[in-house]
Amino acid sequence: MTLLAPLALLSLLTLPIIVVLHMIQSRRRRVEVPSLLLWRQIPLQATARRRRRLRLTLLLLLHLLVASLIGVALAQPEITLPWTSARTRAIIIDTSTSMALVEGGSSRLERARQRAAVLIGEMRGADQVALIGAGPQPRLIDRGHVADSARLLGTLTALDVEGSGSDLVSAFTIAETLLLDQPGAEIFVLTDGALSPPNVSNIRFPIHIEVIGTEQPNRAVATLAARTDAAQAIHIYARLVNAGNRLFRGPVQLWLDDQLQLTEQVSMQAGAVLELSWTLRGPSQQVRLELDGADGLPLDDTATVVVNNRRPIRVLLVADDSPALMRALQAMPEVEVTTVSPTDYVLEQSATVEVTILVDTLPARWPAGGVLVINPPAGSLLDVRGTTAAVPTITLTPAGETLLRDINLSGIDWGSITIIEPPDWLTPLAFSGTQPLILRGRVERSDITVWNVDLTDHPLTRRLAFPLLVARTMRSLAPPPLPAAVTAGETLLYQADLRTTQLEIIAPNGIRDVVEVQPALPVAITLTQTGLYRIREWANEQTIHEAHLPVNASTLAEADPTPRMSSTTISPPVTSTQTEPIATPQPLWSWLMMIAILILVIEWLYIQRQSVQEVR
Amino acid sequence: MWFATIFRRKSSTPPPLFDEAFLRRLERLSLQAQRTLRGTPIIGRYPGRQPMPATIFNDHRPYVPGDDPRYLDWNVYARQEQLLVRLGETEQDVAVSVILDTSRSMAMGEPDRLRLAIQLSGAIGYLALAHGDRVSVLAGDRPSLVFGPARGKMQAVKLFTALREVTPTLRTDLVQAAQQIAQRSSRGGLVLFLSDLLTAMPMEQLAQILPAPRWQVMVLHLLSRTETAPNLQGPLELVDSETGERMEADLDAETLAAYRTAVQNWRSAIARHCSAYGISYASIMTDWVIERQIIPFLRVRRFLT
Repeated sequence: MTLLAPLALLSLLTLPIIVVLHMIQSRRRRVEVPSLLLWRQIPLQATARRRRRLRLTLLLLLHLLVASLIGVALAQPEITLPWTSARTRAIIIDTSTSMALVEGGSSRLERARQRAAVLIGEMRGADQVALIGAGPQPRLIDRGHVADSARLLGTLTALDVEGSGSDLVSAFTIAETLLLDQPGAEIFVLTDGALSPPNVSNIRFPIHIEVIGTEQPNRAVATLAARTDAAQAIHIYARLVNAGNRLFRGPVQLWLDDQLQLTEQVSMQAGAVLELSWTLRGPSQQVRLELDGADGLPLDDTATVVVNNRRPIRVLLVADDSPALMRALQAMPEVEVTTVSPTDYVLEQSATVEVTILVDTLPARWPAGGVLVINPPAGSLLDVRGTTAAVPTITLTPAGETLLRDINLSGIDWGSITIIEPPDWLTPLAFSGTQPLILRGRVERSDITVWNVDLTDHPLTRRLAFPLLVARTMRSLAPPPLPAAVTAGETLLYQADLRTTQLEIIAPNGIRDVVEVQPALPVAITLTQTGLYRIREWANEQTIHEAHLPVNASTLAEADPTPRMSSTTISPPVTSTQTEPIATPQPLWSWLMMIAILILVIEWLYIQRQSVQEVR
Repeated sequence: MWFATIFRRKSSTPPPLFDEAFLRRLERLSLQAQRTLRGTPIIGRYPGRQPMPATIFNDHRPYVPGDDPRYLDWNVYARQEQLLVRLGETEQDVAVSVILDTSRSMAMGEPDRLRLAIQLSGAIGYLALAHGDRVSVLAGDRPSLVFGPARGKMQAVKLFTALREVTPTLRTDLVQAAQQIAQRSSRGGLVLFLSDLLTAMPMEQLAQILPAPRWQVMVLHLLSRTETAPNLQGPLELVDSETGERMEADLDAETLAAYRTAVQNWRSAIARHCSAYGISYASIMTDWVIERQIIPFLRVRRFLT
């Protein structure tokens, strides 16, 4: 037993004070009798004059006991009992796709959940447990004590497959961080073992790896890709895997935009990878490949890709006459150009386009979205200080390397260039001598590129570099396209249009999520469900873009669900001191105070009883 | 609402002293008054000591002027030519005075000694009123009349009302009460003391104030188990309920045995003194039931007939 506040034992000095008080108070009990007439007639004097001494009454004992209990309670004693040893368990549950494999009527994940529920049910006293999901993005699911068991079990029930791959190493890191300095810490790993055994040699806690599942055959669509050519033909490539020990024969169906295009019988040797390709007539947006794998994991028997996920770039060209620029823009297949005269241009027109090109003009405010300013006029949003003769040599800044790399701008007679005093948010990408020629910057919800050159009959427009410069500029000002498909569990950094204020993500199961978008900051979206996600960009109340993003379950690494590790217990090195369960000291002060209160109640009852007897 | 009355204070009205049936049964009894007492003839039911002219006679005396001619024995006159008046026994009433000790010692113990004394006062008073006697009740610190003198059964309600209002006082001077009785009535009567006798009451002085045969004195000594067998033990400080005096005592079996002996001697001494001065004495335990134990006991002790 240890005392947290031993100085409080000084309060036990009240014990002799209580004894003294009892000696003082040990006067005779006063009893009222009808009359002393009769009592005076008996010889009492001899007994009445007995020497007064302390009598050990029940009341004195109770008082001393209560004072002792309170004194010891104030010292905050703690006792370590063998049955109060606390354990802390980190339960790592593999949530990779292969855990969805159904065998024996239930999925591996379901059995892992049941096993985790058993481990939670074994918690006693001060035990605590932490649930860690080991998917492609390991995370702490929940943690709690015995009192939180119901909540933990509820969290466990809601746990689902989180994607392809299992980052056990990161999961161990999370577990180790949580178990640091925790008594009786141990790690349980509930996995199907369909991955390479992790290196656990540097983990300081005992690890119990429980492999859930047996060797099962699985057929999966490991890869699906599609592209179109100039003739709108769709070239499709697929890689199928037979992760079993027997020959597989089964049908493959190919769907274009939910229309069945063909069905093929495929035959795969045990453990073989089959590569297939087709060329079909387009156009089409989505390609889906379905394999009747006849296995316990139908999740990876389907894959979908978007053939062309490039988003259209709507361009508003505000210029009186700019044929070279128009030609360059029209050469870009995804660009739709609308022309408007500077005198007819109003700012609201830019709300419906991705990029606004302002030639020899500038509005009173910057339009939202991408903006390309060519030859800005004086007395406008930009501080134009006149023109100057350009030098032949163009100097690229490090920031300009990305945009202008490999574009040959040498040997061009730039003529005169506009001199501007760039604001803080505008960064020069290229200099002509000391004067910035091309600048780039972002202000509020506008991404702005400035070309300080007059393109009217300019030599640049006759160079191959011009359409390249226009195309790169347009694509850098417009949001990037989505990938053709992503793997489940992958986190997608979605770069929305600058005008976007909210991003609506609708999962394949219909669950809708709305994310507030900060200008120019990508939104991280973790896609855990397989199927087709719908993503909508909202600018205030208006939809400005909608895209579909397929999420596929299978990867080549996870196509084989065969356990590659066995149930085992890995003990930490002997030098570790954190592995032994440490008995948690139990505070006793509350118990002592409760006993003291109970004794006070008993004392009160005793005194009441005495009073009643005296009255009688 | 079922709970509407749970917080209501219980009525403080004390229970009635007697029930009606008990009073009817009580009427069959009467106080054992001595023949020597002088009361108002004709009115009461007690036999008078002096022979008086009567229709049913047992003696004669010569006629003297002023005698009622209705009681002349004309037969004797016819035979002997002597005017003789027929003398016989006549009934008379008795002045019954009840002196109630209301000192603090009477209010101690369980059951309540004072209530028993009030009940007995009520019973005896009702008995006397029912028999046409004059009844007075004295009580209080300096004893004064709380009821009477009154006569007639109709006064019973007033008697009970007055008794209900009797409350404990610090002490009661019984000798002063006896003196008041003696001063109020020169003819004498029956005086009944109801007391725990824990205050000094010299019987000799009482006999002088209320001498026989004019006065018939009865003492009902009310004793409580608290006195006869106290449930006390250990070192105590005993406090006199009336005087507040204190006395330290270490009570053990030996001391308590000595106390019980002292109580016995005390009771014997009181009985002896009462007997010596012609005072009727009866000790009554407070835990006795009035009708089943006290009334039969008083009949045996010839307080009642």
